[in-house]
Amino acid sequence: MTLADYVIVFVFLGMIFLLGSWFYKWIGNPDDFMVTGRSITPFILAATLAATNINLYNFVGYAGTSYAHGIGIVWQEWTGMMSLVFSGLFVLPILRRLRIRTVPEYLEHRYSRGVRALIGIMWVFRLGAWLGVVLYLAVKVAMNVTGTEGATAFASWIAVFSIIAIIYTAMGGMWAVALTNVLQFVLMLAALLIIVPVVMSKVGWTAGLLAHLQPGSMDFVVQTGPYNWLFIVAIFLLGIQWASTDQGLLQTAFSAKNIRTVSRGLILAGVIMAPIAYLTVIPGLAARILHPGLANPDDAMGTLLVNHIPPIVLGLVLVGLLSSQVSTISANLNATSTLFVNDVFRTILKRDASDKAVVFTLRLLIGIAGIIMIIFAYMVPKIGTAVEAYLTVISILDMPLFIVAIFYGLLWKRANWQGAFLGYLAGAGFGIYTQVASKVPLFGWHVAGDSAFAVTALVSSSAALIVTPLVSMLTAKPNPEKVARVWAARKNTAEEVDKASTYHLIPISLPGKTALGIWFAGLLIFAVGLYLGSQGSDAASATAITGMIIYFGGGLMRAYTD
Amino acid sequence: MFDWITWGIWAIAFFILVVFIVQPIREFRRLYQEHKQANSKDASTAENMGDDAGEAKEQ
Repeated sequence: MTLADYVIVFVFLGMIFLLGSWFYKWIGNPDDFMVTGRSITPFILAATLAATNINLYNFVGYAGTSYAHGIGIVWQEWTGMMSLVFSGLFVLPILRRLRIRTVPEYLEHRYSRGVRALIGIMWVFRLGAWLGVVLYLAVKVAMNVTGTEGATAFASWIAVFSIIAIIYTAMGGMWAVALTNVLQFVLMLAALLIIVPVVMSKVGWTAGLLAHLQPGSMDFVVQTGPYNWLFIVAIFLLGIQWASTDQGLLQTAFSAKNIRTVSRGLILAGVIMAPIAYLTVIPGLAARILHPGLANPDDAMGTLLVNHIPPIVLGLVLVGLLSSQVSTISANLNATSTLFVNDVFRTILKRDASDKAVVFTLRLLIGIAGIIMIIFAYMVPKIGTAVEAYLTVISILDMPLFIVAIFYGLLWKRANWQGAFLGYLAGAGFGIYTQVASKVPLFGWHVAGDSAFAVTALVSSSAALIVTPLVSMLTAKPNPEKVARVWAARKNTAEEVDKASTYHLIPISLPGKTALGIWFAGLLIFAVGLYLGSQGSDAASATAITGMIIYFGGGLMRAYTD
Repeated sequence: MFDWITWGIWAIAFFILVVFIVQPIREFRRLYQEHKQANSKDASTAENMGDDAGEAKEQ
């Protein structure tokens, strides 16, 4: 890296800091801080969601995985985007209509304050772990690209990434997060638009990839291997869970101006991310030809940058990559602080706190969450398997939340707080048990290490699926007022009708019904593609991708109908 | 030979880049105007109603 590259990077960081901090004066009350006073418009929402979702985990991890295993990893992002569309059509409009700020808050509306506090506390811990991993990855990439080493360099990069994000997020809250994320989304996309033609020209473009890579590396849906058709099914299901319950994502969506904006923003974000996901994966394939035999596949992106991107342009590309990280950190810092203040501080500790005190506590909590993030980032190299640890945490905690909150919470009136509370604990408990069984045999049961993540997710969700209805049926019926309120959120409110801003979960107009039909046809074609993949058919990839494109097209049309 | 796949996807991404520069700027302008109007309305209301109104708003 040259001096000019460093100047570009630090000018960018300064600019982001100033822009974020400028929103300090836009914060008048807790809702301004947590959800921008619910003012965000569709394109700002879509760009913010995309920026929150993309980070170096994608740039580095996807390029590394495609380097090692081929292009199939792209489905992790594609199914995630399909899930965003699903959630934007059917789940988020209901949650936004309830005017909540966090998922645990919805759990109080649907179940009880106890369920809200339990899951709020669990999620503060979960987001802290995620932030630590995100920060660690950012520091590692920065050190690789700049060629800096040692404890001082590590600490310096930690400071660069975290202090700026902590200060501007604490000052401007969700306003700062949303508007800096828009700029960061543009910068990261620009970086990809530079990287891809440069590296693809060196390998002879797509024809060169097909000619030089191992057969099957460019097959999107395959019968065997770690990223086969079954992986796509599993990651799609986890994606729906993520798009329906992830606090970092949902808090941004709750900032939307109205139900229509939520739906459009989520669907737009899903659609625009699909081509971008392809662009994050192919550099890894090019690196396999240009730099075969890398000891660590995750070095693929860094190696490409250092060897093929000229000075000054490298500075601009780095700015794009750093943008992806800072945007994710700031959004999740804000989410962690909001969760604690909204679901623990205001629910248990100080229920009569004034607006001023709440905003002060939100800012303070962002600082504390930042310190926890830094501690986690320092722990990563010591434990060595932090990414696996993070995956373990989500396999234990996330699926039971989805079962309790979305599956039973929105679909089964008889589910009560006792069922939800014990269902969640049973899911988490069995998840922990399965994880332990993947390390040491427990009562004669041993889970193979390779499949521990998938088996844990399956066991934790099955336990919640079984325990929640069992306990609900054995205990008293839920509070009918709570159930009625959640069920009412499926329909348009009087205010939406007055403002001619209605959104029907199941459309009533012909264009709306047609759009939903196209969306569903796309889903079916996608499923056929996966089935063909399970049979080893050559038509599997083309069918699944065609289905996905129709799915996105139908979703986008649906967002602009009734 | 021209690589239609890479350049096709690149062109879509470039189009997204342009749209996501132009549209958010438009939307932000509107938000800024709304914010300014809301602030001036609050200020004039506080002025008209005296200090009590200002205090009430803070609370």
